[in-house]
Amino acid sequence: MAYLLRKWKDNTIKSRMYQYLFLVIGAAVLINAATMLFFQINMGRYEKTMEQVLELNHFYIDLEEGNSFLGNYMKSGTPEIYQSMEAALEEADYLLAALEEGGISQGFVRDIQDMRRMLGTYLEAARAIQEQLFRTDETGFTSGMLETVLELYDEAQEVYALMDGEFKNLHLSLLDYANTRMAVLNWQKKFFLAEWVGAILLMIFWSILRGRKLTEQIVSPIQALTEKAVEIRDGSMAEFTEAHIQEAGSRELQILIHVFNMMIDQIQKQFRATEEAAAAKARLHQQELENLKITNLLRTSELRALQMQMNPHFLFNTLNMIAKTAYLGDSEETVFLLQKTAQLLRYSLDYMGKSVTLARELEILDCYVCLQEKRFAERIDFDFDLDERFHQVLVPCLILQPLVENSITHGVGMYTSGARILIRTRYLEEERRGMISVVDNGLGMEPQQLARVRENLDTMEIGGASCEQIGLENVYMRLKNFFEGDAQMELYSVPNQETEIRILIPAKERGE
Amino acid sequence: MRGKILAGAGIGLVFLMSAGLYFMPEEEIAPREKRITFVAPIANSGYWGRAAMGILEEAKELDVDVKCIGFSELDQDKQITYLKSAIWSQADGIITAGMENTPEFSQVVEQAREAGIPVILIDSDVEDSGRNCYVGTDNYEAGRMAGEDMVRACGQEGKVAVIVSYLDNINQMQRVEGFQDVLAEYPGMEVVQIVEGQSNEIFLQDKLMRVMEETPDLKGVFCAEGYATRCMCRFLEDSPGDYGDLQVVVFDITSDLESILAEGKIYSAIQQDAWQMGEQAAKFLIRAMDGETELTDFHTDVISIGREQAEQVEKYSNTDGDVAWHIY
Repeated sequence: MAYLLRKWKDNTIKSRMYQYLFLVIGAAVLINAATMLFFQINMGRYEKTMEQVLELNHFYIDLEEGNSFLGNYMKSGTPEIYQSMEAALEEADYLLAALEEGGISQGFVRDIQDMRRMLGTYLEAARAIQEQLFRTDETGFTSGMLETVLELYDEAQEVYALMDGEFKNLHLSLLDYANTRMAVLNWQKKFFLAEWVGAILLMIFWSILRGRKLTEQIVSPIQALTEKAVEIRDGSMAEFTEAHIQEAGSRELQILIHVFNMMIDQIQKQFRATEEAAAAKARLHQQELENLKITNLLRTSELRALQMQMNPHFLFNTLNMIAKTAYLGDSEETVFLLQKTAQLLRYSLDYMGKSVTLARELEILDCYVCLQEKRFAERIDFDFDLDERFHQVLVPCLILQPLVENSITHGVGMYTSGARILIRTRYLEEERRGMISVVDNGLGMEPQQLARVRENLDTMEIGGASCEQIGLENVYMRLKNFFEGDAQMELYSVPNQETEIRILIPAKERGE
Repeated sequence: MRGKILAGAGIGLVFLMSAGLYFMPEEEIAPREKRITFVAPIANSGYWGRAAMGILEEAKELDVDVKCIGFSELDQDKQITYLKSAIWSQADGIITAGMENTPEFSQVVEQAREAGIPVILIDSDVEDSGRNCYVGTDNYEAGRMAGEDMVRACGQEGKVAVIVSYLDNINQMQRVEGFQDVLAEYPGMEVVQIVEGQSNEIFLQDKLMRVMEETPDLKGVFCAEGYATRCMCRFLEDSPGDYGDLQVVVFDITSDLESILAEGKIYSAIQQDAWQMGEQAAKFLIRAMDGETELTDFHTDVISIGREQAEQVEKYSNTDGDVAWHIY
């Protein structure tokens, strides 16, 4: 029961439809029942009245019969006829009693009562006649008796006449009453028809109102939803505000709207998250771009400047040396030196910022070494130990020269004799890498200094390091840039014995 | 909104159902124990209707059934027949109006007495009929009241005509007697003729015209009964002649003629209280039915209504409700 009640009140479209159906059917049943009841009551009354009319007719037939029997009895004096008369009259009385007690319509009760009493009076008179005649049979006929009998008969006839008249009146009245009942029934029929039509119209009207309301309850939230959907389609998701529904809305639609709102909310959240991620990415990208720019700057202007910085220093020394040679008058030597210098200068001018094969680089290095050999004469011994298998690999130009220069400057520059610089290339087949190393037997570095230089190389902190290392770092940076990070520069040093600068670059064997 | 519609529909339904109840037949009521019969000379809604209403009202309180018998026109034989019918029907009591003092009437009253049925007479009395008692107007006194009104109207002198229905009608003659007795006290007053209208309008008007021709200086007319009053009023309204000087005193005016009284065409109306008659008759009859034998006559109120009190006519002539007459 409680379950049904809850179901009834749970405010869903279904329960509303059921409510509506229940009410309509209930109203229809009620009206029908009332109509049937009223109609039945009136119909019953009409039928009863018609029955009473029939009973009254029977009474009248009995009465007439009785009266004619009385007439016959007066003529013949036969006891059997008297018996018949009494039987007929008793039957008539019985009928009247039935009518009196059987609930004849109020207006006629009194008439029936009076009629019955009159019948009693009539019967009394008849009995008195019989008594007189009976006595006559015993004692003989006298004129006084005749007079009494006739008087009694006259009275009986007078009563009879009254009853006759009364019956006719009553009969007519009853028929009239029945007719009015019938008329009422007819009216009732019309009335109930009107009532039905009215009720149906009312129900239709109500249905329309109810239906409209119900539809509105269903449609308006859907409309709201649709509007919101259109808003989302045409406009921005971010501008979306919650779709609302009136309180009276059915539960299903409330749930629908709720879920819709939730969904949109979720989507909005996702949207925002995505947007934020995109913005972060864009920022990152921007930063990267900037980084790239800085790198480019390094690659171009700054590096160029550094290269340029390097060259005058070397040129100054070389020209100085050539001048010295010229001064000594060794013209052949001077020409050779100038040739080599020019070669070197051309190379550095032509290939500035470009890549060259390692072979070419080594060639140029040879020029440089020649010049340095001339400059330092017997003081420094240059050796080459080359593995030509990978010399076709492309490298940035002027990467070896600074290394050799570095070895001279910081390694063996102070030696007056016995200094040795070895330039060695090796192809590491297994790792497919080429190794270029410059080894000197100069001063070398103390472990702390070595660690600092290594650290500086790793962090690439230009300017943070001492001037001496600018060359090294520059080379390493360029290599890294050129090989996109896939190049290593390693430093090994045993003080006063050996220092090695080793470059590892990706390489391919020739012909591969 | 939904509540309003529901309420509307509910109210509509209830209304329709209650309208359906209108068609319900009246309830069946158990027959009442005591039955009395009222035999009126004429079945109408006026004077006798009021009397019947008085009886019915009183009987309703005492739970007594009343059968009202009346006739479409005055017919003494019929009245006697239906009095007999009431006796043969073994009614517990009879109320009727007295009529011409004929042996038949006395005989039927006697018959009722023999059957142990008390008889009360209203409106008009037949003293030696053997009735239990009389309830109604003291007709002589009412006549005197009319006479006094007439004297006042005529300024104590003038010729006056009297209209009655039949010259042998006891109570009308009693009224005329009272009327004449008052006039006799004033030498200037004279009753020139007592006109017998025979309850026939044309006949009556004809006679009245003749009296007026015979007596050009006729100053007043006294109508001693209700029907004559009605005819007189119509005569005053419809006739082309000018009867402004004619002083008219009437008996038992009805409310539909009230305006004539209000206009002053009639000097005054003597009103009997039929309702009171019925009511008191019922009371007396029930006392008689309970075995009381020594009943004294009861005189009901009579009032003279002049022009100023014309609205009182309504009070003395209206009949609220219908009497279910048995008309023969």
